[in-house]
Amino acid sequence: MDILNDALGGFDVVLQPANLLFCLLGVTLGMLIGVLPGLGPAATIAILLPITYTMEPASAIILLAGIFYGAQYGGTITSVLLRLPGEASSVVTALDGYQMARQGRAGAALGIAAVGSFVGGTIAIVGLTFLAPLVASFALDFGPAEYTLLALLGILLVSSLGNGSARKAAVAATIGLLLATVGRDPVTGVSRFTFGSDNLADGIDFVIIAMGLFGVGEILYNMATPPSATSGTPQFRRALPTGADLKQSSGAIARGSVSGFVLGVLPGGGATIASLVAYATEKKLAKRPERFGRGAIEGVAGPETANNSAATSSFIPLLTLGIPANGTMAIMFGALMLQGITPGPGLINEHPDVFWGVIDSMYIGNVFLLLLSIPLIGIFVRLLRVKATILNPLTVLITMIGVYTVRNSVFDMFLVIAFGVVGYLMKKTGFPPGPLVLAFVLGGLLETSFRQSIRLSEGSLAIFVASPIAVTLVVAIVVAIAAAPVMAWLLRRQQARTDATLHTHAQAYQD
Amino acid sequence: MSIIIGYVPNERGEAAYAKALSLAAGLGQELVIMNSSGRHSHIDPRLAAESDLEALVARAREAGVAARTERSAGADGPEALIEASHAEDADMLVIGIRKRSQVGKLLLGSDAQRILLEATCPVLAVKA
Repeated sequence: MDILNDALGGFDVVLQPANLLFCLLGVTLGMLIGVLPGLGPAATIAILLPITYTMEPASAIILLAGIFYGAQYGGTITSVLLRLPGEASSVVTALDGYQMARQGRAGAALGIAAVGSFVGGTIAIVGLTFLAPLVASFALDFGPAEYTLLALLGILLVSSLGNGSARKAAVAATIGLLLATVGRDPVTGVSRFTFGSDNLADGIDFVIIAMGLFGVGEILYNMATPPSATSGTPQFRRALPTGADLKQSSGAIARGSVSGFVLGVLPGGGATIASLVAYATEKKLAKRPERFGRGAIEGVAGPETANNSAATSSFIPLLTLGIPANGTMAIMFGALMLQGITPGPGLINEHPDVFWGVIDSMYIGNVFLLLLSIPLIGIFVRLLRVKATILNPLTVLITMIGVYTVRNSVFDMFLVIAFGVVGYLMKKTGFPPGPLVLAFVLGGLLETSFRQSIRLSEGSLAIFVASPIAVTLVVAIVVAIAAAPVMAWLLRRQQARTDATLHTHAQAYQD
Repeated sequence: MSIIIGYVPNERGEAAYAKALSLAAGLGQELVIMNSSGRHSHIDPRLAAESDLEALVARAREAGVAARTERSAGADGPEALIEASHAEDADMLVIGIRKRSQVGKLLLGSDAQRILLEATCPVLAVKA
């Protein structure tokens, strides 16, 4: 059982004290970020990218991964207690969770959410442990043609399956591809779109775009909408569910784990869609659906399990195929590339410590989350009292310092501000920034692979259907183009229903 | 003619409310309970829950005083009170006050000072 050997080898990496510390730091930071509405894991990861320069690759990804799935926990807390979803994936939880809090069952809601999240995350990690090497073993025969098709598939899927309008996502992706061309041509060395500027000669750094779009852009957007002040939190005694609650939610948790796992792997899916689908499923399968919206515990257990499961499983395409499944994974992709590691089919063999280290760190991270979430809820909620006038400038300050450490360049800082404005405008007009970053990151790969393929085939396009893998990918692309509108329509319907009930803005959130 | 009280859910607000209630009862005037939030943060400890405000109105009614609540959307607590002192047929403004050191006033500002100086009607500052 080679897989188990390697998997256990990963614990070697994780159990180093430094990595354990990073894991703990990551999940704690993730939970804190999850609690704060308006600041998401994507923005935090983007802002912390410069710190990861000096870290080992495995440590860096352990930290960033912890932030991602930790944020799914944090978002639940404010959803239940204040009807204020901290994260997009916790919006559905507010429907029933807040009602449960008003009935005095806030502790049960939070407890079942913690248990469900832990179970969902763990099941997804186990699935990841067995599925990832399987996919990676197929991925070993990838040549330039296959990489081209893979990159194309990735861009297509994220553009069409993301939240919101598919057309706007496609436009955002196109802009990302355009931005990827700035700089020197990878094959001939000719300068493109540099406008004679020395600063742009090397192309735009991925970190700049990520920090500007996600970091500064999100903060600017927050400043445009004043926080919805609520009076104090409803009191809750102990965040523990009763045995009866556990029994009632067991079905929801099981279903949520599976559906979350599947939806997280799909590019363009992710935690938000997983939580929406889980809620809809639970409502449909319930014996008395009228309980939903009035404090049905399955309405909390299902989505919470699904979102953690999806957050964990969305690492699979990244680690095995090198396709980021959503905007946040695109930033992770960039983080890995900063470390000199190209995520993709070769990752499991070339850097098994990173591969298995990250996967095994998720087991430990989940345990940390379960232990931390219950006692520390009160402290996290106090964070919400901090004035936005203090929090926002502080975040911008950290971002700017981070930008400067990338290349010691003031030009970069102006560029980040420019991208921040672009990010704000994009959010306001409904263009998702995720596809842009993803297309930017995959654009370089797409172009290089395409040109290599054409060179290899001496001009013929037949190379793209030459191998079985290539044919599969082409079929997948065709299926994606055909089926995506249908899926997107279905998911948007559920989202619209949720919006109507909660009167929230869907566009304000980002996966 | 009405007496406006700037209410916050702590002991100073309670003291101010008690005084305002007794004044309104004595003078036979209406009591306007104001509570608003500057929307600086997601949880504002100065914002009172609906149930609290309703309880205050009920207490006033028991004492035989006509009372109503007012919430200003988006304006800060002091801002809202100052505006109310302009707009309303306001007899006086009642607020709760606490001692702040000079450095404290420099760094954190003093709501009471602002209200005292900018309101257009008499202001009664009640100590907790």
